Amino acid sequence: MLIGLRLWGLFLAQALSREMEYRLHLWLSFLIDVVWYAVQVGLFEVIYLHTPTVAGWSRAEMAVFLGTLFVVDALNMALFSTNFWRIPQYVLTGELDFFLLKPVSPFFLVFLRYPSVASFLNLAVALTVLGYAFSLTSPASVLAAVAYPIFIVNGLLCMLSFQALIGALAIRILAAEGIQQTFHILYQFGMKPDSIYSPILRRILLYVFPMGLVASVPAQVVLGRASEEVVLAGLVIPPLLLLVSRFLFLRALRYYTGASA
Amino acid sequence: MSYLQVYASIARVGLSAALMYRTNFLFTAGLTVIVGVTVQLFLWLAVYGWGQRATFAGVPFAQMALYIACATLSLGITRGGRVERMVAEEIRTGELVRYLLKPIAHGPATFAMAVSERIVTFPVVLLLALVAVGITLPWLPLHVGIERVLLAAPFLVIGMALNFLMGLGISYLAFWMDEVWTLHVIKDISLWFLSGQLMPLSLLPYELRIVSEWLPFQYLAYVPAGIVAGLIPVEELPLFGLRAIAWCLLLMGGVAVVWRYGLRRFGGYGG
Repeated sequence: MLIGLRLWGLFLAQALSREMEYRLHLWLSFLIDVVWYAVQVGLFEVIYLHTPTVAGWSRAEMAVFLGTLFVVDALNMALFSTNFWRIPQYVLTGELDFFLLKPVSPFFLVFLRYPSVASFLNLAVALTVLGYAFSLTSPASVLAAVAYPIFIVNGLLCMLSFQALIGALAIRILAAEGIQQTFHILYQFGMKPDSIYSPILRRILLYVFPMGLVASVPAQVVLGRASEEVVLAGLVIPPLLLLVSRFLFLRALRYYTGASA
Repeated sequence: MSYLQVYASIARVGLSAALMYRTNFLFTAGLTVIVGVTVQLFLWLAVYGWGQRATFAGVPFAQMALYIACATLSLGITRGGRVERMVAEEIRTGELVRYLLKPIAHGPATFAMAVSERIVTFPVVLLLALVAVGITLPWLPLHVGIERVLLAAPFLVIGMALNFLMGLGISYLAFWMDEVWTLHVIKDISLWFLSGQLMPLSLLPYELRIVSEWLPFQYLAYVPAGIVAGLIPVEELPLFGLRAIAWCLLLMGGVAVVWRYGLRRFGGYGG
């Protein structure tokens, strides 16, 4: 654990020196997510001009949902996303060989090798949005406030798990350029509170394809809207999903042949 | 060979290239449209309280659903793609010299390729948008007047040209900048909101609505979808048309200036 943290610290230092070389790129990358936040906030701000609630969520509650979504997304972008986008390239060029040869877990290296500095700046913006949201409405209880970070981490684990599953697929089918987009397209289901969906789809988004756990469940927990079933699902499913996806990812590596050689 | 024949040949080559990437395209474009339309329709169903509200900002749900499906479809068709982005890569790698040595103009040649790409996109996106509406709202009676579709068609073409020009202008910045893909991404994300894909621009507060009317983005989704869904009165179309053409001319001029100045800085060195 400690070695992993020290190693990641080195990765971050390298990423920082790399990004400082291309400062315009750093700021433009930062701007991409800021624009994305603005689009999401803009949509709901306009909707709330014409109605007091959407699927039972008031404007303040929706602000908490969006703040949560932005925080989980920024953490994912900062830690895993850049790495996830590189996986097909690793496979095609044989760069994955270098990860497999090192005395560190390949799962750790593949998903944490390249942190995104710009996304840490986005995290600051996301936390500001969340802070603003909590100035509009408070957590339901002290317990909810304490549990909230745990559910945020679990949301992040869900994101990592989905990316690991798609990464495993990329390793198996080799010519998988563009497959990463699948994750970002399906992620759209998690970008809205799950109460907008039909009961069947809500179940699917909780148990089968748990995109609802990314931001919707953490926001429901902190606002005191989550049922016991949802709380339990939010606590249990993400670690299990990570274990399964990690297992499948490492298993997929057995089929990797170092194509570039 | 006449001027038109030259660019028709380029368009044919572009069509082959677009079909070459069809599996990848079908998968990502298909999923994008189906998931995009489905999520949006669920959101608007919730906004309408699952049928409890007859109208939202004066718009009945059937009209809103038709608008959302058409707007996603419009942006799917008019959205710039591979062709415009490739230009930046050609400038960066020096491959642009291939065009400079040929008796063709770069802008129209790229446009011919982009048209081919959209010819492949259109039927797929149309079919998938219909599938998404069918899956999400199988009970919804959607009446689409053929005359409204015909009125929207020219705006769709203008929207495509506008988006192409914006994308090409960004790619031409590669004469000065190493990497312009971030600008393309920023443009694409902004367009979700600014083009009216996520909601009709008529819902915006009055001041923002006035500003959006003078910007070119509405022609990419709001205007074509608004015409089909009946949100834009037919008598206002001439004014929209004039403004759209003015924006086309303005952007063409702007892109030509960027190209001219950029080319002075360009050096293509073969290996």
